[in-house]
Amino acid sequence: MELQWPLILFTTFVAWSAGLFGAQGAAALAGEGRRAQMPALVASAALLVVGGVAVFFHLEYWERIFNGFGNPTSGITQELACIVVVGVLMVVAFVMLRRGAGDGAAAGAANGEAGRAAGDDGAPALPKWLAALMIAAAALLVLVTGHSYMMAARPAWDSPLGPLTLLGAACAAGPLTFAVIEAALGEAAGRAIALFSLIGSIANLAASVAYLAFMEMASASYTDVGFYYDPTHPTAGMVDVAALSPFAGESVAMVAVAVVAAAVPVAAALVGRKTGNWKAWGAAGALGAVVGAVALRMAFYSAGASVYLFY
Amino acid sequence: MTQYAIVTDLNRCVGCLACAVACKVANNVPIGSFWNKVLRIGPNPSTEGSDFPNVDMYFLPIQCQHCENPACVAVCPTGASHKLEDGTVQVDKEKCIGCQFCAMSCPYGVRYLNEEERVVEKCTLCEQKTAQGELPMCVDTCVGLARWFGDMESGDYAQFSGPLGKKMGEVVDEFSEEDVHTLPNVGNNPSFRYILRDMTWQGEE
Repeated sequence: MELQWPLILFTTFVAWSAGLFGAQGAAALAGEGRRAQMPALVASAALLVVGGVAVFFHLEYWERIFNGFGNPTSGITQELACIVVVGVLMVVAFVMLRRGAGDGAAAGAANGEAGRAAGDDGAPALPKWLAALMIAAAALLVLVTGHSYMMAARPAWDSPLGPLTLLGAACAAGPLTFAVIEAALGEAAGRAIALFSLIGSIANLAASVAYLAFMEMASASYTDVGFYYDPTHPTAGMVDVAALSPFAGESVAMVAVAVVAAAVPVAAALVGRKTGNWKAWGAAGALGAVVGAVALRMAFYSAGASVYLFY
Repeated sequence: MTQYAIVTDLNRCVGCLACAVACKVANNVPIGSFWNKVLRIGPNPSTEGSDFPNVDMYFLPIQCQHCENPACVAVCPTGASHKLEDGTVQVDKEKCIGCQFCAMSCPYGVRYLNEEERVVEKCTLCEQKTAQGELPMCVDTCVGLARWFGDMESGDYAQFSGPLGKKMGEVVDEFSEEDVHTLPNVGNNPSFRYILRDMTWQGEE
């Protein structure tokens, strides 16, 4: 089917936002990156807003969403519910960071140089329970968003690898972006974030390659009626199922970009861990993860034909 | 529970496209969109490796199959796509936000975005007519007396209604259970049935 750019951008930005939000939670659990928490929270919220704005371009009557999303089996309703949960947690985290900043400033002033040397610099810490909730909500949002596209009607989409690739993109782009924010604030990325970046990037690459292989195998699931003719489209040829392969035609370029771009975060995380230059390598890795996610979604739409594709 | 649907005798369908044209006229279907379309399936070898004249060819009218378990209804966030008590799947245009997830989730690709009204449309099984005891336009117009409208829950195809006030049992030749087919079922349980004798049904069910 045609590339649905608003949905491609929505899913990518939601994954990026949730990944960053989850990385914040991971850092908070590990007791790292306190100073990066507030900028990361703002960035995560901004990414979610960008994704939200993008998806509105997909809707013909966006104002009717206020009529109520009453159908709980709808993926869109489930996504909206998860976004509300993440939004509430963002507000809670914001309030706690602001309150903590007031208390921490006094403590930081009391600690002076010692506090700054310890890395907290008077910056507030999020409670562990909130950090755990942030990780869980971020992961749930990404998985639910990916699950919305698992449709029996479209063989190339109907796999748990779809949501997993979105989770992979989140786990690659999120911690790498957090590392960049830490580096920009003059903080070295903590061990947990560095490790999260590497594991997340490897998982993303593996899931992306596996999903592309699944899309290729899905071509066996399309209905075959032999020769046929559509009198309402007399000049149109028969559907070429082979062309729906992600490894055929225009999709090849998308697949190449998706795989190479998904490999970039792995290399970036490795070099970042080795050199400690997260500003450059974190940025390169996060950019690669986002570009890879976009390219994979493009291949996803190119391969996403109906099981009965003659109408 | 009622489940209105159409049974089509493909051995009687002559591929005249009258049903497709009548549907467009009755429902003001935009240019480029089809709520009802007739495909020619074949010529395909009657048996493996056979050549002309040993080939099968039939015409296949396709539209919304008004599924028992419609994926389009399950994915609709606002409830715009819904199933009526008569078993038909309808779209409430006032509720539709145009997200087109229903179109993506349909195994048959029979849903269209109406570019002018900016909502998704499809075959309504001529609800405006059947609610008044009339036949869907595609059935009413069928030149070959191939299409028959009725309640699948009754299980009695012979009582399905067709043009000229006739019942299916009066017109259609005998058929066996093996002759009754559906479009591919991926869990949606399509309600429509297709009868095809002496030829090989093409495609999964």
